[in-house]
Amino acid sequence: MKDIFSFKRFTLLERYKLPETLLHSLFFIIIVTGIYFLLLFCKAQGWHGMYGYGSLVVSLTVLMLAIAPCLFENSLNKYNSIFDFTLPASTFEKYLHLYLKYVILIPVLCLGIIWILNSVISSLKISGLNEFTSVVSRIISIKGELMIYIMLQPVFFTGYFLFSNRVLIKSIVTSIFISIFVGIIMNEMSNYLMPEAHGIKIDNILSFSPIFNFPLSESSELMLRICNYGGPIIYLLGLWITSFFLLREKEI
Amino acid sequence: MITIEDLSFYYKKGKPVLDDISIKIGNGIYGLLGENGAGKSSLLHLICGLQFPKSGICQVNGYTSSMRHPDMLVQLFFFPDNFRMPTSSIHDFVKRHSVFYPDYNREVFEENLSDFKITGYEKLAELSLGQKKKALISYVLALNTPVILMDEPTNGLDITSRSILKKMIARTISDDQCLIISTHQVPDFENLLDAVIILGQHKVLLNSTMEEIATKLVFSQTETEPLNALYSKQTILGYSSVLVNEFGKESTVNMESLYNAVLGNDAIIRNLFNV
Repeated sequence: MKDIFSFKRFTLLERYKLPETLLHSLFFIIIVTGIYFLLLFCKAQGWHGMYGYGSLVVSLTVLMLAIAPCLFENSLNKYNSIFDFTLPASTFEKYLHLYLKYVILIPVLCLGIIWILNSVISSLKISGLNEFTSVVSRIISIKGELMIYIMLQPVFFTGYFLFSNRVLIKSIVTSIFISIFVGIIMNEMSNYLMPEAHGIKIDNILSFSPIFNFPLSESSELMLRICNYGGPIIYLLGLWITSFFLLREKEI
Repeated sequence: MITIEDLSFYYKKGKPVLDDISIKIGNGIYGLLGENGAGKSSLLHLICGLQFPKSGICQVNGYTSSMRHPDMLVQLFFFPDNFRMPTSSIHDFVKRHSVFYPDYNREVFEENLSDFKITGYEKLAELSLGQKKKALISYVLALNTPVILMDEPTNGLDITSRSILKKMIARTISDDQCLIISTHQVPDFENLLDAVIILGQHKVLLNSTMEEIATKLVFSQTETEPLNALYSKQTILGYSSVLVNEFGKESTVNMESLYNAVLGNDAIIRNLFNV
């Protein structure tokens, strides 16, 4: 067990990576704050965008969080990563560092920043901006945005470990292919398992909040619930575990 | 210390870089020589687990390199030819990095930096490649890891620094350490090496101590070219040659002549040294 994880070693690793972690966290605070105030400014000016500015704050933040590993980490190649690969810590510890950083620390930090900004702006009670803050609060709490994150984050996270250069572009292309693939699979599954639910597609199957306004048989409803909760979990865990093995088998 | 058995490695199938090689590397300072593309860097990458053998075994002190076991990684340090360093100063980097290495010696590090005339507080991102190398070499040689691998350490170093490096290695490397230096600049490490490994044609052409080389080969300087020389080169003083030491003559190993003799007579050399 000590070969895989040692708390002492992990602490040393975190201490070694601390300046980088703090710098990346600071970048994110600036980016999220920038997005928030830019869109708040647009709203205050009364400009009309294609989407609501409030929902755009959350969507852009979620997108940034998803692509973060590809954006901020140096590509894993022999120019950038020799000292990381030869650092005396286990592969699991090195993986855990990135996982905690991009799946827990930075997302929590971003949500915290949005929450604080929203609370401050709401408390100012400036007319016209209340709608903006209430939309942000509403969107941030709905599961649909979480699903976007769940769909995208593991792809970019895995892409970071899989590719050695042009990581972001290659991950975007991969995410498009995966979306098409998952869409087709979900469509076929729904047609096969719930033929009475014509048209129930990926939005409903791979979602924590399925919406359907047509009758389903008891077994189909059960299947839908299993897919609702099992699908995202299997997808997430599958890609996260794949990422670990990609790092373990990575040659530079 | 380092055991390599029946190891094969390639980037593209059918184009081997290393083909079924077996070597044992013990303590001492080893020169790793070979032509461009002979597999020197690949061998170093295999030893420290950055690349994996396609077949065969590569172990460091009993640990399989490709597993990148933390207990193996703590016993070695790889100094690459080209690398990206953090933007912080070398002092800042060392402060955070050296905690992983229990035998790190700060006094030696400071002494090494001072020899290279580096303060250590300059940001690494602002230094030239040569200065970065000097800063990192100062650190590597203070780590006291049992195995140190250096890939072209003198590339980018000025003449004075090369000489300082040679003295630094002689001062800091102890008898129970293994230092492997991959280089094309053979004269930079003349008289420093305990053993030489020469790679060529995807094989190990020579893996021998300097004593063994001096026993089995003779390095001569003659007015006329010897008929049975393995290698001969005309110089201002006559002919500098390498011959099989049939009569137990004593001579000083000339690394450049040795290298050329091995590359030009691989079958004879391998037979002579039982490779």
